Amino acid sequence: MNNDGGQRLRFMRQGLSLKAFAWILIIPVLAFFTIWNVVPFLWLLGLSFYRYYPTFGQPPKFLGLGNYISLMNDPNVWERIGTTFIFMVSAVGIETGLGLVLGFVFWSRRALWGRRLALTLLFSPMVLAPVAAGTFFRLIYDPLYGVVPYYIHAFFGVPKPNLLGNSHTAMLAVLATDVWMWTPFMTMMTIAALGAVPKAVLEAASVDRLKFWQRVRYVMWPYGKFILLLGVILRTIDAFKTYGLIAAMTAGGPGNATDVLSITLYREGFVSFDMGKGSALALFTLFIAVAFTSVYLYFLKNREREAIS
Amino acid sequence: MANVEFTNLVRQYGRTTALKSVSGVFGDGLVTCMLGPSGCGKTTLLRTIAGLEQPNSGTIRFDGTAVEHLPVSARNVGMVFQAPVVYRGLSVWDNIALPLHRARVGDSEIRKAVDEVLDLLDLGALATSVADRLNAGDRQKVAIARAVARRPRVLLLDEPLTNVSGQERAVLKRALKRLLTYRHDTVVYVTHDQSEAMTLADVMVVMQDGVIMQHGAPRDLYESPQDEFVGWFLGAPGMNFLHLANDRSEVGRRVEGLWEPDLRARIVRAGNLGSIGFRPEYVRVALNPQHGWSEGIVQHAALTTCGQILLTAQVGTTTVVAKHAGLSLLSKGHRVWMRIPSEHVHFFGPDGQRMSLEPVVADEVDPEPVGSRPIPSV
Repeated sequence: MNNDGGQRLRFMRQGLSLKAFAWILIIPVLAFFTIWNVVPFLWLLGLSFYRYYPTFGQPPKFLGLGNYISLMNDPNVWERIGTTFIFMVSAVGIETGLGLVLGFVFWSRRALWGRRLALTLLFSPMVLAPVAAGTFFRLIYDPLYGVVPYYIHAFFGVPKPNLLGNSHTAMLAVLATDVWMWTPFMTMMTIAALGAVPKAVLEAASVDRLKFWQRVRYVMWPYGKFILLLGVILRTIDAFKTYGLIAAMTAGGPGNATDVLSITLYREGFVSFDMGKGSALALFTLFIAVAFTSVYLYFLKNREREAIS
Repeated sequence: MANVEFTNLVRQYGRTTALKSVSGVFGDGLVTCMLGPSGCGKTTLLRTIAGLEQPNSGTIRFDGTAVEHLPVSARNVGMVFQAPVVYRGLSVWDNIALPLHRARVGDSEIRKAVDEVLDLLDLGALATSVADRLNAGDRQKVAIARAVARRPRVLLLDEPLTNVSGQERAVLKRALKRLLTYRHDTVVYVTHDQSEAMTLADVMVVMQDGVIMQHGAPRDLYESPQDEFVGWFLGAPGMNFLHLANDRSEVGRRVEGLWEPDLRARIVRAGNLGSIGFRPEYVRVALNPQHGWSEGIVQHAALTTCGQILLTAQVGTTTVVAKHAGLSLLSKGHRVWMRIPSEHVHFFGPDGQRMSLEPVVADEVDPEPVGSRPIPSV
């Protein structure tokens, strides 16, 4: 008698079918998913059709697509989307570029003195909570006793700048912090991507005396691209919804200089308590994040197709 | 093409020594096949010549020029790996041409070189196909074509047929033979497949435990192994060995019918004899009693793919493996009579090295034993 048959018999003896046993296993996951994902999503969707201020003590008023139309016609929202994309593209671009260089150096110089220690130190920013890192850097950028303004003053002979208080430099200062925090992630993804290249292919490229760019194009990229793209897409999604770091450093200021979508969303929902508009904005943000995820899934599908062929 | 000479090569990995002061020459324009069990150091030697491994000590010379300090890219070697390596996304033609662009060869010369190897390896019809979508055999052909197209000084092949199966393997072996016969390149070919080595080699090298045990023409290694290990390793199955641990004269008596009378006398008289070896295919087997031959009882008989019977027989207290045609009726328990012609018997000293026995004068030769000795019941 096979194992499956044996199990079925045991369940039947206990008055329980195999199907029922399967459901028992699935129900906790389904319940968790429903309570924490489906219900809030439906709640959010419902709220987005209403005008609702919980602090006013008035019942919600149905607006239909009113909140969405209001968002689409609000030039401030488009400005925030623009700021978010500038932050996202700059952060991911710089982090990917630096990560590629650092990753390649660490991968190709296995015998580099202090490599392990350097890798450990390099990855340490990733384990910090974004709010903690943001607070830490707010002190570093502080115009009175911060290290960075001090050195700018010392090297360039200019007065200590208020980097986070200036609308021209605030975004750069936030970006630099994000790059400090997340470049190690892209370094790690680069090392993983290069590790996916089979040793024989790398050796064949050396024997065949391929130029560096030929090795990158025909050896490293074809094998490493999926891991690298995964890193870029994960970083893109994460940078798109960055909140803690910016909230701790500038809270979106000065003015609107660092006011990204997630900060606006928080302000609409939990400062102005405009739950309807906040929900509509949240769904709009979710829609963009899903679009990024779809890009990744598309690449993943291609990978499976290549693996099969 | 180059003459490859290596002297006292040592390669250690931690406490393991993969190459133990190995010296030798791979002749210009010859196909040298390196054979040996797993972990014997043959791939390490190949990779050390390529420059993919650095020797701890020793020298490597291509046509007299020292290359051991040069990186792999400066040695101008071609290499084919066990796993078929093709550059993804490129056509077969582009895969072969890619290293040629690096070598600053003109377009017309590139076309000529690529077309020549495509033709030699029967790849013409696949020239425009994307290389990584081909089957393993064709991908390995592309890898071989890429390695030979730029005329390297030495072509190194590391078990190139291992990852190719069935019919593809036979096709690739034929194509490789044609290519190597036509090109007269200096080739070093690592394999664990004896039939591959026998088919392709001008010179065969047998390695064991980081040491070259013997090198020479394939037939010489097969027919005159200089070491017990070479005799055991070559052949399927390898040599029979009768070890003379305690009493040297015992074998002469114990299975005296196996030997011809003159040889029997030489064995009994021999000093310092470690073992006697003979190949299964040279054992003469008869189904009817033969005067003076040893009688054996078949323990196991199986038909081989070559249409012969491989049989294991108990002769006295000794087990003899024999290969013979036309005995398909044999099965366990059958009686057979066996003898080995003197010219096919090999002698090895206690250190496993080949030795020759002193000839004997006619009056020392015992007459043929009367009948065969009683055989213990099976």
